[in-house]
Amino acid sequence: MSIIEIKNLTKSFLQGNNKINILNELNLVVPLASKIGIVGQSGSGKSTFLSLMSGLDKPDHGQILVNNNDITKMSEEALTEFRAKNLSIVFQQYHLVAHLTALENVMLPLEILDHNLSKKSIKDKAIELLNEVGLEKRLSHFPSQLSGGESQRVAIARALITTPKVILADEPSGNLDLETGTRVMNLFMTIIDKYQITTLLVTHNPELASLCQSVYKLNHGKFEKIK
Amino acid sequence: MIAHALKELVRKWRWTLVFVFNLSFGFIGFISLLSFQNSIENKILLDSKKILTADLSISARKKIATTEIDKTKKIIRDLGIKIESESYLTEFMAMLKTSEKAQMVSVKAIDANYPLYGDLELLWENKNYSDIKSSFKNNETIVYSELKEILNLQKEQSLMLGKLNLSLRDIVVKDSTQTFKFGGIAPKIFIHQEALKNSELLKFGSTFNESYLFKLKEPYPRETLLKKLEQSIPDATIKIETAESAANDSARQLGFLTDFLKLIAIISILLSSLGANFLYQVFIFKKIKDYAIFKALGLNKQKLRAQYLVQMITLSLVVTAISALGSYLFIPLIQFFLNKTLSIIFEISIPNLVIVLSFFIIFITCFLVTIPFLFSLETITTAKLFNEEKLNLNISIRSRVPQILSVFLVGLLSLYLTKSVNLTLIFISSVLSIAIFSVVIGWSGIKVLSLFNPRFWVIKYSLKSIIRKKGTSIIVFSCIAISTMLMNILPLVRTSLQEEFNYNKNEQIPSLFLIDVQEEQVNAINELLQLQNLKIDNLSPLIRARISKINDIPFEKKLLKNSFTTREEETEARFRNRGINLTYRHEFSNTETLLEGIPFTNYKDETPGLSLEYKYAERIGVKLNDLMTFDIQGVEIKGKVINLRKVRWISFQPNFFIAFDEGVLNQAPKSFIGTINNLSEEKTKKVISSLAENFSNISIIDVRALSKDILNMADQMSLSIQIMALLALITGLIILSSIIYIQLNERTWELNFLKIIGAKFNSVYLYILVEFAFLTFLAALFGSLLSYVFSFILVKYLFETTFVISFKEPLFIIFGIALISIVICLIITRRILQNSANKILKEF
Repeated sequence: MSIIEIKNLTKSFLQGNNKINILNELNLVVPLASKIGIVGQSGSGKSTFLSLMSGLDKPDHGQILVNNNDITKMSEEALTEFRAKNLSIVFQQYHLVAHLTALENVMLPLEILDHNLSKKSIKDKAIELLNEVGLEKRLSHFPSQLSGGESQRVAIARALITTPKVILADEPSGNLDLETGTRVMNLFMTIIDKYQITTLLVTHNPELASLCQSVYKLNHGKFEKIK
Repeated sequence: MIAHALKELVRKWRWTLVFVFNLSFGFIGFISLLSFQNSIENKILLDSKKILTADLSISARKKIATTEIDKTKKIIRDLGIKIESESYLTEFMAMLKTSEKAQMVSVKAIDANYPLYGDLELLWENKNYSDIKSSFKNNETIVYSELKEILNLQKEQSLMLGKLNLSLRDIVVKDSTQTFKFGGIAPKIFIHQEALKNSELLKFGSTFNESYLFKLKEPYPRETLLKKLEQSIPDATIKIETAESAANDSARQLGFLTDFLKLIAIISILLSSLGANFLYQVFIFKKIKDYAIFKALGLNKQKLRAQYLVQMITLSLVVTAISALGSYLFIPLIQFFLNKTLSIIFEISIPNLVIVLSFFIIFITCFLVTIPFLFSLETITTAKLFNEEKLNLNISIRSRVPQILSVFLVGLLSLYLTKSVNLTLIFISSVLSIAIFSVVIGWSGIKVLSLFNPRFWVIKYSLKSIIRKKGTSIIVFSCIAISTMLMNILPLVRTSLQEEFNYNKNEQIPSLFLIDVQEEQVNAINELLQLQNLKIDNLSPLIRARISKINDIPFEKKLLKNSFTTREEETEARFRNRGINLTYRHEFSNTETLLEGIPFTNYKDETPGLSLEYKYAERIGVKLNDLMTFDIQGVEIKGKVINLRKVRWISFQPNFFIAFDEGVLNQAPKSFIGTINNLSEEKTKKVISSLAENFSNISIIDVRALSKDILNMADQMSLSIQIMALLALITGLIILSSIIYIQLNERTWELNFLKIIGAKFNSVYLYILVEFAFLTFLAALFGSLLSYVFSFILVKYLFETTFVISFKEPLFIIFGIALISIVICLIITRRILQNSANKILKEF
């Protein structure tokens, strides 16, 4: 059973007077609870692909069906709501809200989501996730007081709190040193396996991609299955 | 280096533009006002001889002894100065009558030589007075143009002035002695000195002014002449004026108009400096990484400083140029309205000095704004600077010193502009206290907010944003509060000043005010009035006197020796240098309130009791229980100050600065002043006519007509004030908008991120509205409350009048500010939400 279906996805940019097709008639089917790695050289269109997947950008044409909903047809507002319920993003630059503590950063997406959860249960869930990423002692620390690895772990916990159907991860270890990156990614994969969340991992690191069930290489705007 | 510094300003053109316009708006008012003041002072100085109509004038509100005039002439001659011509002038108030109407006028009895300088422009003959001087007959008069309308005057119409029958020769349309179009409480008429005697108006005890005017051959030592004359004529009641001192007096009369305008100019500068400070803070935070790169590349401190210096000079030059350009557009507007008020025609030009001065003030403003941030950057290691996110730019107290100094610089500027120590002290203490108070209130407010823990995430995180970004929140709060306060002060002060002219309907304002009523005329006047069921009310004796001693120490003429004298020193000197009117009464009138001491009714001592108006006592430095000696027609009378009282001058009742208890002055030579109340407009005219017909020496003021004139005058002046106030308001609003705009732009990432993680658009709008509208509204409310406090202080202690609470303008400003902040919040948030989330993410 698939959760994501990509049909003829095309995206181009203008470079001077030249039109460059960064993604060219892409097709992909992502099964539920699978982990897909997308690799490619710098400028191959990995991040553009992820932006389109998350609805942060619009394609020239083509369809992205997430849970049978075509997100390319959605308005900004509808997309926002859809994202809240179905998608989470883990960014390379962590993107934590500077004036919120680690705990508050994790709680935020669930608080934003319409739900009937009590404040206490949201907090408990956030603490549980932060425990899981090994930050139980850093709950009340602000992003400026956390290291890169810790910040990314907070971002991972934040991505998980809404129990999304899909996690989109954009070079999550890109800003970390090799050792920390590996540790964080192992943790990330373990948690994803535990929660059975479909994951699209974009990376330039083939070793990291190899942790996924399937790996696609983005080359000249087309997918090339390498695993 | 210079190229890089300039390139940065060009590349960050949006910021540069906001910064430049922000400061320029503040300085347009400053340059315009300074140019206006400079132009009018120059014009008055240029016309100084015409204003005095002489080089030197010796005048007094009494007959000047011939010995004093001989002494004057001797001093002039001893200094080797040639007297080219002399003139003798008598001025007094009297009633001018036609067969139907009468009007109080200021009579100028002139001799054949008048005026020694300047001229009078005449209407019907279309000539100057000097052209018709030789044919101006003893029985002829020329009168100010206001009288033409009041009395429906025709050429050669017969007019009565006391017993003198005059024929109207012409109408004066322009008098070189006048700087204001408003001619005072009585329009002037000119008659021959020889005809004066026939009027039989000047009797013993009448109030009049006598002047001896001299035209001196240039060049002559002005300062030495004035000094010698003041030394040898110590009598405080004799006024010695040179053309220059008369011009300065004349320029000072404009003080009440320009004071308020200057206050607005300083407020505009302060507002824009506040905005500039805020804008610069944003600018510097954005270039921290650039600074770190330059530092890492090996650029030393001096070169980095030079880069900032180049930027400051460039910005100052651009701001000065735009402000000057703006002033060229703004000045004609001020001129248009002021020309309705002022009689002298003058062109306002922007002197180079004003441009240079403005450049320096703008540069100092930029410098003071930049220095604290620059100093702080210099203390931080390059590595830390690279890590912007973790950087906490703490501005140390030492770095803040230039900003603290700036308060004193503003003080100096205020003192230079207003020449008032009181105004400067009020202004500086207000600015300092409000800054401290705003920070304290902002800080306490944040403490209070942190006690709340709302359930709804929008409110929860809005409050958290305010609390966690404590520094920014306090700065935004203080900036908005101070801006609101400054914006509010102007309308509040204006309302109180305007209210001063608006009578309380329940209060009995007299219809007519009678001056120079002789003792023997009182019964006869009352008999005449009784026929019309009227009577004289508030009849009060008036005795001309001179203060000769205070606590047995001679009360001498105060000479101002320094070229820079403050307003307070000038006021004191003026009060000291003039004769005074005394009265006597045993009980206070209903317009007087006892402030200190005991009433006459409780006073039993042998030394006669004295009651002084409290502000007058302050000015001449007299306290309770002081002894004052008065010279009344050569007789010395001593009194003891037993109380200080407050007088409601605007009641138009006969009121005096100094009142004796009944007894000691009862036999002194005196005249009376009194009022007639409850007259309709038509009856007023009839009563004036009949009184003028039967008692030609009495001067009668039509209070209703006078107050109408004053109000008209005030209206015209308030127009120019309103325009300036509008400029300050616009400056304030621009600064507010920039603060909110920049703050919101700083939050682009955060709002975009909320959108990415799925926050509904309405929630994002609400999130930002709660934070900003709440902060702005609270700050505006707090600023408004403070504006009441400071307006009260200004109105009570500077303008010395009653503070009137007005809610209209402050409410309008509070809601206006809140509305502006809401609109800006909605527009910017909408722009962020509609923008591509990916694009915004890439920008950060």
